[in-house]
Amino acid sequence: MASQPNSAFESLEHQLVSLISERLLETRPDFNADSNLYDNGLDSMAIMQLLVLVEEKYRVAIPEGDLTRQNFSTTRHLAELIRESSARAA
Amino acid sequence: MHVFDVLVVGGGSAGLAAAVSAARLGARTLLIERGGSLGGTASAALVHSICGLYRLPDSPENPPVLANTGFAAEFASRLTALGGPAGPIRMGRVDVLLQHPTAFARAADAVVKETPNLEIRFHTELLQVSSDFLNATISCRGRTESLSTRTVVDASGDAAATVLGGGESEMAPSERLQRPAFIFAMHGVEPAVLQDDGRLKIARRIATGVQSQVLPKGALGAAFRWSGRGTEAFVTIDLDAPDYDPLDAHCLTRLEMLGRELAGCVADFLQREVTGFSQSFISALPSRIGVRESRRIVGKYRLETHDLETGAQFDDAIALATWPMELRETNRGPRLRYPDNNRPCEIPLRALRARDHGNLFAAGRCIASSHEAQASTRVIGTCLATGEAAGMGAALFALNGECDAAAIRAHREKIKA
Ligand SMILES: Cc1cc2nc3c(=O)[nH]c(=O)nc-3n(C[C@H](O)[C@H](O)[C@H](O)COP(=O)(O)OP(=O)(O)OC[C@H]3O[C@@H](n4cnc5c(N)ncnc54)[C@H](O)[C@@H]3O)c2cc1C
Repeated sequence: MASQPNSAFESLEHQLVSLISERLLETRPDFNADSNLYDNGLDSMAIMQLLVLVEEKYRVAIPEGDLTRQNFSTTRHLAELIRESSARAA
Repeated sequence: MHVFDVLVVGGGSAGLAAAVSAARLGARTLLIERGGSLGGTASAALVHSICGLYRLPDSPENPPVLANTGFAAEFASRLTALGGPAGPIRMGRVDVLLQHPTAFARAADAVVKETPNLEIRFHTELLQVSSDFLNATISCRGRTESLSTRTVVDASGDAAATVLGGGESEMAPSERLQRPAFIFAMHGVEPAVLQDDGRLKIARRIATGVQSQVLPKGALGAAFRWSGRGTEAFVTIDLDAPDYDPLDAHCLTRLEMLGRELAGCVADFLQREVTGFSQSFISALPSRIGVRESRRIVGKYRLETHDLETGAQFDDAIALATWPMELRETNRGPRLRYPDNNRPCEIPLRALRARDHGNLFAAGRCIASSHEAQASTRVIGTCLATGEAAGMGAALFALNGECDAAAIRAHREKIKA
């Protein structure tokens, strides 16, 4: 497990963890920000849905260049991507 | 009047396995199929991968292990011999055999041609069956014919034979039914754009297309895969189907047209706007939308969700279900529910036998199961295995007046992959 990040950051991860388990994937009981999303059933179709969900919710645009398997491999990576995108937009 | 031992209704993967397996045991077997080829959903709806052929691997290093020997294994090696992407590939936690629907139909023709005691009739539909399942009326293009049989295997996917004979069936409520999908093929797609991150870029473009309302919302359900041949790709669009009823002609008609409309929008968009698609076009439409779930028979045992979750065992086991429960109750992609410790679930012969009719068997996606259990047992690998068991069971019942799981297991052992 990664060391405890500060609480403001943690909450984005937490929100995404719930969003993903509620709206998108049948996640395992121990699912957390560091779980592998592909092992939890993420495929390119689900990524499409995920993009639309997070872009709407967090008002960001994730550019095509950032669309790599690595960037979507865990919720923590995804959270990082969202932070970067909103920093760019600001 | 024609007299048969076994009448198999429906020539999908389950009906194919059932008919060949019954005939191989010496039963005079008739298979009727409404369409013009074998394979059903696996060929006519352009499904292009076979799930449920292998056990869930315990660790990433373990090689694929067949779940069911017998006809499923035999047919898988016949398909591989016809070319296309050969051998199983690992996708996350599962092993899948990629296949080509045209190969499925050809391999099916080849195996039935080699099988004695087996008659196949295409363009033939079951119209009526008596309540003792001994007499049936079939029809080919307005010409009807009566026949008699000793047993019936309902491999119609929809439990149609069961219902026509007054047998009992059940179906999940509309909003819970697994969503249908429309699969089509495109040509002129550069295979490189469909590899790894390429598919994510396509996902990005489609998401943008939907966000900017250039594409309809339904396009978000699209998934892409290289067919393994030249510049051909398959596109699967899960359909959002309000008031979905897979048994209603109005609903099916609406969905067939919606599927073609979405296919047109997506293909035009890709061709116009996405790298690697500039030379592409729709090269094949399915001859029917893909229906994942409709009726299931009421059996002597109902395979329950809990059985799948825990990997249940039964004295009368005839096949293993190994695919996770793949729930597609929305068109937002699959939710895969895995069993405890990746354990396979045994399927009892009783789940293939109608509760109230000794001579009525079911195979494939309409065996007796809960809605969630069916989300595992509907996959083609498992349909081949339940089809084989139902065919053998029906043949044994027709020839000896009884059948048991041990005899079916013993016959399966004799088949070499
Ligand atoms: C979009 C989609 C994607 C899928 N993806 C996969 C996948 O990747 N891998 C996988 O393993 N599985 C997949 N599945 C599931 C799998 O393809 C089906 O569940 C399976 O093929 C069903 O086989 P079956 O033989 O039970 O029924 P079907 O294939 O539906 O066959 C039933 C046949 O019976 C015929 N019939 C019906 N009524 C009558 C009648 N009265 N008289 C004569 N004939 C009749 C029909 O014409 C049909 O050909 C998918 C399903 C769908 C819809």
